[in-house]
Amino acid sequence: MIRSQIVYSRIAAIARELAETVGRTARSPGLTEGRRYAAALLTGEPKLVAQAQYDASHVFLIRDSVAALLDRFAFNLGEGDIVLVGDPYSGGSTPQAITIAAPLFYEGELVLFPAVRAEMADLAGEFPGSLHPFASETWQEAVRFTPLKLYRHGLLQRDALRFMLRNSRAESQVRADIEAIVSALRAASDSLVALMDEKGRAATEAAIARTIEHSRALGSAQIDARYGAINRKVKTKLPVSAEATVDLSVRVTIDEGRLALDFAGTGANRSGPYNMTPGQTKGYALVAALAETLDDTTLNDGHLQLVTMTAPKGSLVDPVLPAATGLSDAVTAHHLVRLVRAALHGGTAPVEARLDGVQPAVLAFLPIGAEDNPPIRLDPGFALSAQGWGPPVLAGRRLMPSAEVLEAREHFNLVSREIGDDGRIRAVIRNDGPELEGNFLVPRDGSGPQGGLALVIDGERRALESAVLVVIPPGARIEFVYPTYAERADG
Amino acid sequence: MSHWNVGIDVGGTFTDLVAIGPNGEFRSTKTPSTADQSDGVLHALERLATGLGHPLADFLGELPLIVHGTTVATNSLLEYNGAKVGLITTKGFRDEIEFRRSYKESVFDPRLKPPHPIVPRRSRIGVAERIDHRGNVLTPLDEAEVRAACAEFRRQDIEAVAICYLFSFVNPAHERRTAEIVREELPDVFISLSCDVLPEIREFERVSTTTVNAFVGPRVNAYLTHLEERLRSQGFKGELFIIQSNGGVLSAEEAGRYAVNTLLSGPAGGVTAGSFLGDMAGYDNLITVDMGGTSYDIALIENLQPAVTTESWIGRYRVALPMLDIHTIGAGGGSIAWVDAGGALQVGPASAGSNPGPACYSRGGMRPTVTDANVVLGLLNPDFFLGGEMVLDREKAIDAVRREVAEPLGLSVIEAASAIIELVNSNMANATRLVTTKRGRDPQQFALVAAGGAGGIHAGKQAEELGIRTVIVPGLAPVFCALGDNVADLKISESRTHIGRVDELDFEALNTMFQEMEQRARGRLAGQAVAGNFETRRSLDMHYVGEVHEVTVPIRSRTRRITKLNLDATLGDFHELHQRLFAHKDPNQPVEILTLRLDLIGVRERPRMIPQEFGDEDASAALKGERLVYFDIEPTTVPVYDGDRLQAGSFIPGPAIIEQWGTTIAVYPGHECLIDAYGNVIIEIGQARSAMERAA
Repeated sequence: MIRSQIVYSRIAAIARELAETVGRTARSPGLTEGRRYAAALLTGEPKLVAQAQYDASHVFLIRDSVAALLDRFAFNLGEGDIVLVGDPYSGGSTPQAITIAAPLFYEGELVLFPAVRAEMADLAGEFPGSLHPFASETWQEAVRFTPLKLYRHGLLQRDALRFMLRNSRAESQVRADIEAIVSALRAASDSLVALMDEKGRAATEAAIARTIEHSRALGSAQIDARYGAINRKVKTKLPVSAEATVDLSVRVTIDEGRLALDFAGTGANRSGPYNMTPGQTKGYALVAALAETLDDTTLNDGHLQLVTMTAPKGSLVDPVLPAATGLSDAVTAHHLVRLVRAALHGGTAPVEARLDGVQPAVLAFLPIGAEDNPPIRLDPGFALSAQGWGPPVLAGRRLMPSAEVLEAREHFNLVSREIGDDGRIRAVIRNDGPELEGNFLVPRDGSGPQGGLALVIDGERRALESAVLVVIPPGARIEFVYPTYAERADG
Repeated sequence: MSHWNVGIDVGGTFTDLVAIGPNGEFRSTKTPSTADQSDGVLHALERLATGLGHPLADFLGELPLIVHGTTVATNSLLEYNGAKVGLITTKGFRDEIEFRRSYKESVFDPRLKPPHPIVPRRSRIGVAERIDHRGNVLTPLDEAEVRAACAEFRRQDIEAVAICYLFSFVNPAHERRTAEIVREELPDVFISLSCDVLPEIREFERVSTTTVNAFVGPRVNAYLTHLEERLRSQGFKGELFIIQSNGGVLSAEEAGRYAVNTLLSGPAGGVTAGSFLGDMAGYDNLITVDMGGTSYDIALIENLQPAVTTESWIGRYRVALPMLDIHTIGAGGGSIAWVDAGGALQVGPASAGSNPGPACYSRGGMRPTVTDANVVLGLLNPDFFLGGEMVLDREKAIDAVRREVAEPLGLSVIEAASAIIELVNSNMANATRLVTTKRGRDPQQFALVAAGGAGGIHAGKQAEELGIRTVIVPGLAPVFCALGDNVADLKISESRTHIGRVDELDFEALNTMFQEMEQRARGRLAGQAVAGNFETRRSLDMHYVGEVHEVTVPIRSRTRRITKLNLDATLGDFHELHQRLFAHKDPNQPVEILTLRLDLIGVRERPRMIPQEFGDEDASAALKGERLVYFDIEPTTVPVYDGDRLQAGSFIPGPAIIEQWGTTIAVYPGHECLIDAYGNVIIEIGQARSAMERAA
């Protein structure tokens, strides 16, 4: 076991390093500052060997996406191949996120897959970027990239790459991000080969198998110790407008440390930022159960094996094609996590350990029609977490933009960013560049819109809820008010 | 008696002193650290003077220089007992230091506590002023609001004021005028200006660094003033210098002004000593590791230049100044071994510290630690810990390992202790590997310098794991940081943000900025008499347009003037460095410069060490006995040598143990060691070669 731990610690380090390298070398702000990506190593089955992530959205999705790739290319993978998929219905969630995997052959056999799942700046869809609060169909959010080969035997498949890039309004960012990811994957492959050279393939595979088993046992013991046996049904009404709601219902069962979710009674998939894929759903449930200990371990298949789910086909948590799925990380995931934690904690989740906390978002771009139109995500602040400091856990490890960099590079003047008298973070951004358009998202909770957005043009202030193609003329100001989920922990 | 140079490093437990005499002779002392660090310093000096046969006053009177490594700034920040700080900033931005760009150390843990506020909200005041990114004044400074802020600070008994306005690195006028007003209104407070401390883009990084400077500044100043007064009162007439986080030294006065630069004053000495040692022993590329009771510090030295970073967090605060890149993990002699709920052995990060300490310390500690495992395996002599000043209880170590590890895992006590050591070695090797690969290097290209009390026991095994062929355990390992204090050069690191694409660069502006930076640096070094020769090193922080992280690239220029040819060569280096660091380059992508950096080095005369003549290879004269050691499950009887009696040229094939005050060195089976002309233990690692051969 000790030897396995030692070998596995090297493997986990390679996964972390892969993630760090992508963050350092990618070009789009969504990856470099937003950290909207995760990196993993998988076996050929595929089983998740080790994963490094900066938020809760990717937990199951790299493995599920690689499974889709394997399904497609089962007998057609060779040394030097690099394959790609970006499809909510092939293991993903938002279609703007693609998974790139580099099958690693050792002694002539497929042994491991280094893989990265990352959200691209733009892959077509109705509007630039990934913020479409009213999408009904997945194609409104992006093109579906079903499994394709980006490299064949080490050679770039130019037609495949060209097809991708020609379907982007942010071609140079997407190209640079893909190049950075491919380079990082190759470096990770080299590290894995060096490890197997040194420790042996059999020892490496044994270490992986043992660690997955250990993680499953440890996670199971943690769930058992924390929650015991549970069989509890909880439900909530997810507000989709001022008047309407949709049911989110789940029976949570814990048996021998395993979490089973039954979503019978959950409403049908629908338009807007609500539908979650099953992989997303299981991932958030796992985070809800193990958040307090996930930082102490390296996520692997042992953890994933702890969660199973059933749901009505065509429901909010198992939508059917072509239902849109792109924004549920920002909305439904929060309700789901709160619900599962409530079920785990006897019906009421501990407020001070709350993980969720929705917040408004704005994505700005040049007026529709510009060929080169990389969108700019404006997230100048964050919802104050239930812990009274910093953003909620589900916001992930985003890096808030620097006011000075925004002004010097992007022609946005951050007029102010401060905690208001009501304890909420307020920010005001002025457009000092050309006319823009923007999509706005103001998510709702049971108590109404969470946070607020307003547009001030020539002194006239207009409060906004979720909206698309809002014109942001030069000199216009956007006011952000972020919700707070606790009193600020004051010093 | 004249021309002794003295380096004094104050650590958590001991105050170490190394003195180098005019003929290259060395003296070292180790005395307990004291609450008032100046007591420990004077005790150490007194012990040295007495050892040399002089009264302290006479000795100090002849001493030209003391270089000091101090933990006052570090302790102030880590224990949050610095000054009461007030912050004046651009109206509308007073919470940036609390927002931390939304960074949390943990991704998932909802119970992570907020950092201690070193400047609480009531002491953060925004004033009307605004300068744009080109340096134009958009809103004039409201001086009345500054005076009102001062009145509020007076009411709050504020001791230090940090001032940080947006874009002050482009136009510092508002910050400087604010400082003038604060000086008028609050003449006794310490003032920290962001345009002086860190004139670089990104307001959070700047305000955090500036505020930390304000927080630790008064404590560091008070300590240095107090120390200097005590030294002067005892007859010291020379110069007092302080080692900085960048590995260079500065006068005490200058160090006090930029106290944030002393946050790594302690460990920086060890890295600097590593570079000195490498130069002496003929190794240009080294990894220095320092294993103490609770932590394991790793640093990289390439071509005798220690690696530097600007990405540090200390005490949960961002400090964006260039500092030696010292990577720390929670692995030390006190790291606790435990079995998790899934049945796997873990070592650390929790530590028993020194109190209660490992079970074998007999101070009430019941949980097994790395030190306990070393005692169980015979690697540590329970009767020679700290040279015999402390006796360890092997039975208690055995009992703790049996109860907490062996029985839960169904192992024998020896197997359990071996597993603890194997795991901690692996953790340390992984961390070391990360430090090298992060910089695009292979650890096999480096020699490992092992310092710290526990470093010599573990270094050989780590070297095997990393494929490293040579381990150097310095002769002065127990006082290694103090050695570094003695050999460090003067160094000023200046930086300035200057954003622009390389293909659109204004060379006139670039050269002017570098000249200004050099003048400022020379001004800060003026008045000292320690160094006469100066070197300037210029570099650029560059990245592909859109990247967030920069790569620092030395400028290739033989003259002060940077030409297009120089820049083209530097650009080529950038692409290659990017390739090395990230396995990726794209010469067709536009490249942007973000920050100009200049290091002004005041080169000190290196102490002249006298090499010993190589004597007989036979080390038997230093043999003090033999004991059973478990390098594996089966015990081996190994010779034990008295390190203080070993001579240059002594050759010891492994397995063997070398014991000296404060350090035990394990020479593992298959390893060989030689004592070099300067008393360093050079261990050649046989297994490293075979590991490399396997890899090949």
